[in-house]
Amino acid sequence: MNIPEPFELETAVRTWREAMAARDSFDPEALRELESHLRDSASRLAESGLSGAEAFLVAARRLGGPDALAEEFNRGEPLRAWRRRTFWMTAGLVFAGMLSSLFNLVMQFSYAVFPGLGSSVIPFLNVSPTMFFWVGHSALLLGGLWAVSQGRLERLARWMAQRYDSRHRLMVDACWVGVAEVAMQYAGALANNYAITRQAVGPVPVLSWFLLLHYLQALVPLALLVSMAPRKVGGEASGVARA
Amino acid sequence: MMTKDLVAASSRPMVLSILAGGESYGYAIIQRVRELSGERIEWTDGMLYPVLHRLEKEGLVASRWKQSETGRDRKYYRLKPEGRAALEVERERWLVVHATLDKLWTTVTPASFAPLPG
Repeated sequence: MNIPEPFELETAVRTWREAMAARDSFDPEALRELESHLRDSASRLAESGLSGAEAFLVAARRLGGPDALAEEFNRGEPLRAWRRRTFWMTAGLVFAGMLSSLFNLVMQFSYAVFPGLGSSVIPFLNVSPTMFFWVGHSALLLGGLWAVSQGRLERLARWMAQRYDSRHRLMVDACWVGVAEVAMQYAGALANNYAITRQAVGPVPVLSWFLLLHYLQALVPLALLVSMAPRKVGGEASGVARA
Repeated sequence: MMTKDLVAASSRPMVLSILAGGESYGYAIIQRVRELSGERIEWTDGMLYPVLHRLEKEGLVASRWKQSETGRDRKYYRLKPEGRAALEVERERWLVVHATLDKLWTTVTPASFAPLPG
């Protein structure tokens, strides 16, 4: 932590509080409690002869670093972290969905303006069983994540917190979902005989630019998902020991 | 230096026992443990709070904000009757461990122990 000279307790405490709040693991009351501890500890150390800056630094170090504390606080209430995570997952998926719609619009517009690009023009609003399926399962996924992020579906949140205790597990599962999505898209495209999809997909579907774009598009929520996952694998004994 | 596991396991009965002596707050609890252990038990201060919050969630302690003599607000914790009962259970357990180790160290293999330095 950098302490600017001359030392200002209020500035130092504010910097500390901002660093803690950025972890998102502390509710306002816990933060207030930790701050009151920090002030108690610093003033007691200052009484014993340390300078203001020294006392603050020692008190902050004794209190523990933001990351270590965040981890310890989350251990008590793993679901809180998951509420936050699922909120951002929902946001990521909605964002990815918007990108995807934009991409589709641009594609369809290009085909309409330059018919030479494709052999046929996709109807602007494509109503098909595949589309219903897409909308349905996206709505289910988004609805579920949103509900968890809002503190409902406790059991689902608990299951997620228990299963996804590491990034690795989440990545593996997300890859499976990604593979399943692409397979479903391909199957849907074939089943519906979209001329443009067939043309774009070609005889070697996996290598086509069309599916590649879909892979890339799927990476947005995937990256978000993984960045939200807990960093540490497993849990060690919880407690108050000084590391 | 105590191991992390031992400190983690003993923090609960220690906090309950300190609160059995009256209402207290985080900083004072840590100071008390440091003092009583002759500074041999050192907690990372912030780690005490999840323990206190867990105890509160279990209904063993209650908390309230109160202005201290310095004018700062502090969150005070006090033991509830349920906490006193839980402390009694904890005490029994630790006494069993203590009594067993004590017997092992005084009656079974006294010769294998060299006097402790200091």
